[in-house]
Amino acid sequence: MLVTDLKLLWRDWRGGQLSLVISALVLAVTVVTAVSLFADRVERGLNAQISSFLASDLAVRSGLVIDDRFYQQAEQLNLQTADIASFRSMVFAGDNNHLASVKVVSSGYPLRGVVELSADLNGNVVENRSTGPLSGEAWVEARLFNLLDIKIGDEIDVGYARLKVTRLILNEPDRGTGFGAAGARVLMSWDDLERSQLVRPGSRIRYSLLMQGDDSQIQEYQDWYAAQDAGDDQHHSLVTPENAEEQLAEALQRGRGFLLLSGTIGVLLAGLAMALASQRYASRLTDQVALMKAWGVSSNAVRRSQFVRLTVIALVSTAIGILLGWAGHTFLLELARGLLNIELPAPGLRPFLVAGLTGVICVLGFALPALWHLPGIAPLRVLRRDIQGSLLGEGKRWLIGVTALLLLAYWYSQSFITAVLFLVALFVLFGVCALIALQVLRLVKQLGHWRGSVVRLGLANLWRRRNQTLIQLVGFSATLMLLLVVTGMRTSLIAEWEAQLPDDTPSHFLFNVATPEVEPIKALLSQEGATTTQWFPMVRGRVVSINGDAITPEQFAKAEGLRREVNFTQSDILPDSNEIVDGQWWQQAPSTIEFSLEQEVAAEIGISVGDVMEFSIGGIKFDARLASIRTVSWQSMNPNFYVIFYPGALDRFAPNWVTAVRAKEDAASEQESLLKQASFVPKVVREYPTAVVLELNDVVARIRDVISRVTQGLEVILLLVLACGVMVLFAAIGVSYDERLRENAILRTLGSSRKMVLGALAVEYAGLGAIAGFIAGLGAEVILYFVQLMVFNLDPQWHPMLWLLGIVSGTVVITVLGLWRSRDIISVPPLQSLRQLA
Amino acid sequence: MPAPIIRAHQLSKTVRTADHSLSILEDVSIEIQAGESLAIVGPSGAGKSTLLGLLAGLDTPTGGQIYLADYNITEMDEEGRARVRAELVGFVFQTFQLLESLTALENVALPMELQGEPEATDRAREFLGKVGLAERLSHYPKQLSGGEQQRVALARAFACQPKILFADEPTGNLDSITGGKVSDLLFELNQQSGTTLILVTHEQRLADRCDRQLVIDSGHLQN
Ligand SMILES: Nc1ncnc2c1ncn2[C@@H]1O[C@H](COP(=O)(O)OP(=O)(O)OP(=O)(O)O)[C@@H](O)[C@H]1O
Ligand SMILES: [Mg+2]
Repeated sequence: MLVTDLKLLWRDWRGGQLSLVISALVLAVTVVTAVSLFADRVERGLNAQISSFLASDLAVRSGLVIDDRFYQQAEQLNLQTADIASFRSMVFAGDNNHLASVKVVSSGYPLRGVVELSADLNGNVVENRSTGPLSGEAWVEARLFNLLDIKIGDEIDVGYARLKVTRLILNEPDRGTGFGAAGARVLMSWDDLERSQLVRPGSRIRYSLLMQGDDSQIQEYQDWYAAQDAGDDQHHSLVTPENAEEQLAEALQRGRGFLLLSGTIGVLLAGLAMALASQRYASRLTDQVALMKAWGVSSNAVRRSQFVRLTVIALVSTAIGILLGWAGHTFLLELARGLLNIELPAPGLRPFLVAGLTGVICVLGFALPALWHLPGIAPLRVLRRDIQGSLLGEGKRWLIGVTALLLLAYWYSQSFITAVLFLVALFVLFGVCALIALQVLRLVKQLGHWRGSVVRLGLANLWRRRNQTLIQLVGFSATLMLLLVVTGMRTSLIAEWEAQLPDDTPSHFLFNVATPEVEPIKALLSQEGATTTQWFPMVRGRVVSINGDAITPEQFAKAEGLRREVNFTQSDILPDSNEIVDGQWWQQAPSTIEFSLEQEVAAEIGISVGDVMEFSIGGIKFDARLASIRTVSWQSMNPNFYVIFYPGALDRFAPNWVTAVRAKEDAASEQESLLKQASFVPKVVREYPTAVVLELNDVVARIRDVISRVTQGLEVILLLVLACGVMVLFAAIGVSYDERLRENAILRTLGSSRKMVLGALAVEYAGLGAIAGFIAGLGAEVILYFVQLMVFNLDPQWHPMLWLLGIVSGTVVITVLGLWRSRDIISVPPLQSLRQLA
Repeated sequence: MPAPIIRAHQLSKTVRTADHSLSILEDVSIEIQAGESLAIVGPSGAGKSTLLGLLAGLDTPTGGQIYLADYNITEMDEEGRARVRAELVGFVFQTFQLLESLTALENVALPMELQGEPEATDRAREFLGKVGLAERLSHYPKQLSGGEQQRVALARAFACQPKILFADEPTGNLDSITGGKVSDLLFELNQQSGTTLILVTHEQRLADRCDRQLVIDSGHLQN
């Protein structure tokens, strides 16, 4: 029996009745597999790292030197400790310099895990160390050897400290997760920190106190920490592997859910295609089933045979889909490689489970309902052709299909609400597309009246079969729209942002400059022809309370910008491109300490002019009155501050200085100036080794790189989804196939030329594609409008290229594929097609 | 004289339409002996196909009894009738009813394959030889003429070696010359296998070749 079922299946496949069902299923599984394999492996990679994430059991972190009481408690509990300070700093060797990620560690580091090192540049011989570098030594990441043109044994300067490079770092236990650090890693000894003179009051340094002990000691420390009055201490936070892991897990879960939900669009389209194709398959099977039943095959046997065939279809398609999905995910990983600084372990079982379940549910939800009625077909049909099986009601089939989608979306996102919301959003999007499409179709119908007959025929077909037309339009335009949005982000947004930068946009940021260095550096810069914006003194601190009420976590949650350590400055002139919206900028020295706050955070945290806010800087607390509220133009690329005090308030905190520099324009081409460092940079870093120079081009390039990789990844996924849209096109053509065959045969018997039939079809498909492209362009423009406005703070712009891309690609893709799929309709001689349908 | 292989007793069939019920067959009783060939003739719409369907167990009568061999199929449910059909019955149709996606050979072999017959393909080949299509085994129905398609259908019907063969206007879709050839073949195969043949036809020429003729008009048997 099984053999017979397989034979039947094989013959159906050979007859071409299954290819669409199977391709749609394969595609759905491919999309889901690629996405979930990718997510799974990245997640595993990150999780593997996090277990030794802290290089210890417990850590206290702070933007300030860690308070003594944390050390004392550790000592009391007999915990082992180690220190870390990390920051960005210039390192240099000879004429070369690099903005490195420096990590200064005490000899006890790491408490957990090992640092993997090598004494030779190829990293062939691996040494594992559980202690930090000795004083005077530096261990560095491989790329620094190229950047600074040095070898092992050479010396580098970090601030005022000269260190000998003794090892190459292959791996650190706590190298961090996610986005790779911008600068190359330099690991140096805690004993050299002071000598380097890099630690200044306003410097952006992250301190960690690592601790290790047995479980009870660790627990005791945590209890002690919890008993501390949190309100009293804004500057320290306790990190355990668990809470680090929790945060990451949450972020990962969200990321995976997002990717899988975008896969859901593919599944939805593929499901639609499967349902349509299965309906056609069912109508082909009707005669076969009626005959089988007349020959005495029971309904149960027919049902069983149906199940066997569908199971085989599901198994084979899922297997192929998983293979293709594997290929797809390696492609995604390739794109993400530069972004994610992790090793990727082999995937777990879950992605395969997800893929398998997708295959099964697609078959059950989309194919089976269309075939469900077959076993019930009356055998009498062999004599009375008018007896039809009663197809499961359309409402029921929709219900089953939507339930299947909901199940899958739920499984992908692990959240029922997310799944429902996502599907609702998707259906709303489809609904809006359908409404627009209907309007456009109406217009097009009218257009057809005054065109030539070929055009009229083609366009009339679009309207006549408007249900199918709509299905195709919706599937296609929604996918194309998302694709255009992503492409638009990648190609236009960054460029537009750059184009909107004024001509005098700075080229560099200069920070960590000590007060006595300011004047000489000013002189040096003007000598080199570089101009600067205002110089701002900067200290870091926190906000504590408003009018005596401690700021609640909820308020902080809203005012993201004030949550962590904030940069404060003082100035008696209103910085360029800032505007007062409430209160007054100081005309004369105020009698108490006063400050000015940025408008958005003021609204978020709920403070108005006249209120008193308490600040904490380096552990010292003081009150200040809010004198004015300002807008800040973030895209001005000048140093911007949420909080500006009236001069004097910050003097006692020994600020360091920051400014934006615009280097002298060389006559050289832009390309060249991109490669060459501005002339002032080596001089400044040589003479003032603790100053940090940040090249804005680098920053922009990095942002561009991140965006382009992420969007390219999304494009890959969406292209797969678009392929699912093509399946819908094919399936919809399939639905009207026999009808078209007959019509065109009649047209040709009546004397229309083959050219005319072809022309009408071409007009129909081109019309379909152009409308889909138009809707996609429209939708993408609307979405991009909001992205520009809300996310990038840009003046929205039109994207004619995107419209063109949408319309042209829609027209070309649908015309070519549609005509290809309809080739039989055109080429079969009319007599044969009439006979075939008799 | 052996017991009749088909006995129909006071068959009637009424169908309910939207507003009234329509009587298609009324009080039809027939006995058919094994090996006999019987033609059912009558004007269009007389109820010939309906009677054929009832006798073959494809449909259920509103009244009366039908015995196929020893089975009272009117007492059986669809599954039971399916078993009886599988054991006894074969069909030839006016519209051939070959499966488009199967070759001639596969079409003939299919009912045997469904019954689990291990030598289905060999038998199919043999019978296609008998109907003169040995050279067309791997052709699809589309590639065959109407007469050839009906010959494939004959091979399919006889290869299963049914006790009773029901044929509903087997030459109805063919021109008279081709139709003549197909009916020659039908009677020749029938002779060889000793099958009981129930044939619905419009053509007097075909009906005349049968052992017996039943005339049916407006659902009534005429004598
Ligand atoms: N289920 C049904 N519902 C309604 N009418 C039916 C049904 N079955 C048969 N009829 C009608 O009963 C009559 C007899 O049908 P039947 O197919 O048996 O005629 P026939 O003698 O085979 O005619 P033909 O020579 O044209 O094939 C026809 O008028 C047909 O429309
Ligand atoms: Mg009839």
